[in-house]
Amino acid sequence: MLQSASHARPLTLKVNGETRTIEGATPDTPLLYILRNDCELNGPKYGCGLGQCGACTVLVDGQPARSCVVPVAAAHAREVTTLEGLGTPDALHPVQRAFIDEQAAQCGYCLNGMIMSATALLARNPSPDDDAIRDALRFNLCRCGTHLEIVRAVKRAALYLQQQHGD
Amino acid sequence: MSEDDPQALRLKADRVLLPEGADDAAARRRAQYAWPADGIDADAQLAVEASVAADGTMAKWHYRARVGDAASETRAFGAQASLPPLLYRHAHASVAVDDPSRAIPAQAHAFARESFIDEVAHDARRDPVALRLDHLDATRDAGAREIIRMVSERAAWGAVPHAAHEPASPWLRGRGFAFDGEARDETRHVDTLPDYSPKEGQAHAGPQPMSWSAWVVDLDVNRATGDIAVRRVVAGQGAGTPDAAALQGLPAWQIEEAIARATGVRRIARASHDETGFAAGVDTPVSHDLIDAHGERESNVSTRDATDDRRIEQAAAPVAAAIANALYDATGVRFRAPPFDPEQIRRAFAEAGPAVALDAPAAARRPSRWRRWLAGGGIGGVAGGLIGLACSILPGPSAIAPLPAGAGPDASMWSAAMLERGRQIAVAGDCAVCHTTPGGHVNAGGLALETPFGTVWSTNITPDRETGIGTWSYEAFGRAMRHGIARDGRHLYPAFPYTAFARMSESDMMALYAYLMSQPPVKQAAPETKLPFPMNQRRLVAGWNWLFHDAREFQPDPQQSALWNRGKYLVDGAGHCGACHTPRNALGAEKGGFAYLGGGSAEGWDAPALVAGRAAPVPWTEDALFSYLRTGFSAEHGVAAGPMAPVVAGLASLPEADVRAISHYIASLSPPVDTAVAAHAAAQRAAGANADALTAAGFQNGRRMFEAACAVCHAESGGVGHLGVRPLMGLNTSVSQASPENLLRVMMHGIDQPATEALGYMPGFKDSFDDQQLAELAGYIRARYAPGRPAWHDLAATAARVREAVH
Repeated sequence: MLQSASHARPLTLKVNGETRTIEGATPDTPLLYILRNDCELNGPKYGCGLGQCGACTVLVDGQPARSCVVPVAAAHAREVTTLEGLGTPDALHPVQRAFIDEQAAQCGYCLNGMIMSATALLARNPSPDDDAIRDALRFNLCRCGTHLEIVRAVKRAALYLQQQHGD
Repeated sequence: MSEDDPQALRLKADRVLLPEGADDAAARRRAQYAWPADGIDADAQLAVEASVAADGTMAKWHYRARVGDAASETRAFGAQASLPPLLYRHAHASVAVDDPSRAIPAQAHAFARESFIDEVAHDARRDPVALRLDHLDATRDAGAREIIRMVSERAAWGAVPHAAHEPASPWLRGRGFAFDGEARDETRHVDTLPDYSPKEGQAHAGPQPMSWSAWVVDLDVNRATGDIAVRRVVAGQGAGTPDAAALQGLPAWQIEEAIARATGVRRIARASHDETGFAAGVDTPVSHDLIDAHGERESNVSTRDATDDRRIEQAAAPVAAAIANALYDATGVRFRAPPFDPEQIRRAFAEAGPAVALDAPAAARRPSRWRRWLAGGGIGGVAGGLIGLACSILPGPSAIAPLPAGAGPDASMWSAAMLERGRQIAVAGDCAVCHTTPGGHVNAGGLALETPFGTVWSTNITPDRETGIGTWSYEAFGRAMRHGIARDGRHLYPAFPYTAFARMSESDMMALYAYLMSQPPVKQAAPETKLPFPMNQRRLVAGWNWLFHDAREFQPDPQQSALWNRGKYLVDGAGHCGACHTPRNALGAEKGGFAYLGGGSAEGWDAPALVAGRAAPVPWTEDALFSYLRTGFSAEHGVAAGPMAPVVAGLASLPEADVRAISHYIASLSPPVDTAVAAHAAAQRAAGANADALTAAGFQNGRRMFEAACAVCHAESGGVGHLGVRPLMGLNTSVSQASPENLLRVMMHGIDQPATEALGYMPGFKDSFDDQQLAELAGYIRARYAPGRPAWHDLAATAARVREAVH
């Protein structure tokens, strides 16, 4: 809060459970730049750079954040989760598995945002209907037109998560 | 109570207690006091005698107490079962109590001791508190010293005195101090004397647990009627071992009862307006204001038990001494026996003759040169009708001598409690907001303040001797804060809100001084303020002050609650809310009357009215104000941004009760708002007008931009939520204000430094939208979310202007 932007002190971030120290970045640097360039986490995508398309979405303390317009200072002392933090190719997160199973990607650029936002939605609402899914993903833009598959993927993800909890 | 006149007691001859020839250069002083004895119709006679050096210190100190006038054999020191604690250390001390029936209450001894040391201090022209400290060991009495220090600091003891009553007024003002202490373990108290020997080697096995209490009483006494009105009590008690103590206040009822017993007048005690964080109901503040009872509140007598009575009795001893010392301070007449009722006081005054109060210690130290000068300037201004001329003819304020090198104050001079109070006041006053440049050293100055009269540069208020305020005495600091005059006598421009700071209490002012002077000095010269003629004639500010500045300290309104007074004190004083939220006249002075907090401006931002906000779509409730001030966000009103962001950031670190008090006071300025009504209005307004109708009315571009750029965070529904708060445009004050400035500023520059971390950030859109696009977007937001308000005009031109303005 209200700190100066002119001093580039080392920043400490907690990303996907790992504590990272970032040198040489000013606190007003967008979080996305730090994640992609310094942490080499390319799950979050650079889309519009204006916080409008959602491709850069990450979770900060479990809340979706458009990392292209959130300064890295905002992530101080908070937990950042990127797509890489959800699951790995060997051990996919249920939401990731559902998106693959439903073949919800065309170009795939929006999928980071769709998956992260869907994860946040399902944490809040474990069994959303179509309307709830559409409403929640309203501000995540997809230009290819895989909206139907995306909605289906979210419903499947809900199922997977319920099965997982049932186990 | 004896039939004897208390004044006569001091004239009574008694046996000399001091051994002959024991004191060489020192003068002897003796005084006799009286206190009603328990259970019998007689007074305890208490005689104190000491050898007094020129500096007031007492190497030899002797005390004798007996009941009634019958001269009987006194017993030897140490042989008596119930000996009063000595408290102060003397090279030689003796105590003799002749009280076989145990009729002398413990308070009597404290009254005599505390009155006597005050007498000695006045004779030696010493500060009575400093003299007490001379008789307390820095190590072994560290706890006692700390309690004395904390209470006297809290009362701004020794500070420049307040404005006196009118010379013709029969009311005289005085202030007195008293201290008491006792062993906490009562069996030990009876059987053994606490170790007060001056010699290191005679110490007991371990430090004995003690409790102490220190009192500062401010009172008014009427020299005609003898009426006495205790105005304020600063009282703290501490317990611990002599090397460690913690300060606590006292509950109001103890103060009330003790004052009532000593003066016969019952007054209501409540937390003072400058009691940090206590307004919201914590019942043991250190500083109490006493107000007329009006018979409206019954004390909770019924719930008291023997322990409570004992507490009141313990309190009564220092109270009586503090009142007697304050009476002396006010009138120059010494009272050596309670009670201090009008009859006794009148009789004592009559005996002392017409000289009462003329040579009282309090009278001798006022009025200040400044006041006399101000009076002169005022008369000159009226007579000539040319205030500026008068001011340039009359001598200006003088420089106050710089503190000599090495004599500057440092943190070790003040208690931690004092410095913490000072920190809170600095936060409440937002000193650092104006006195710090972005990224610069805190309080090192150099921030440019754009005023309608030109650029004023804030100064360095770190204690650097060359570029800061390191050479400023407290007197100089207080004058700057209350009268806008720098140490060297130059007038400060009223961009520095001394007009508000003048309301601050003396103890708050002192705490602020202590805090600022204990910060690390930063050598950094601020750019010199150079306003165009005639504003570069700083002497003219004297005329401005005469016209617009009221230097009076805040006076609580006894009709209002302590919470309300605390809120008003913070709003009008340190908080200087009116500096931005009250409109100013052509000469840059805050308007009064109905304009008070009626909406002003700050750094190009509109500062909304705080009174019955016409701009707010939903009426503010006290809770909404609290949420806004505490967190920077009210769901029904929006986010604190612009110059309000650092204000909220500061409030977030103040005690919650203080923010509650501000909210309570601000809410009281408007008609009461029903929470349910406010919630209903908010629900209705949140959605705004019908968007499809607006598209048909030509707002389609604006609507599209809003959906693309804004809706993700600001739509009423949709999305998965996001980091930070979700301010709805239909409830946002900046959308319903008369001017689009605030909205355009936020749209263009975003919020990159939120008031609190929880708020989240907003990106600025100045680089993605041009002026025309911003105009269309703002026009749509206004039409959609402030239906019924007139449309904004010339939005593109305003956007261009805001784009140019310094962010």
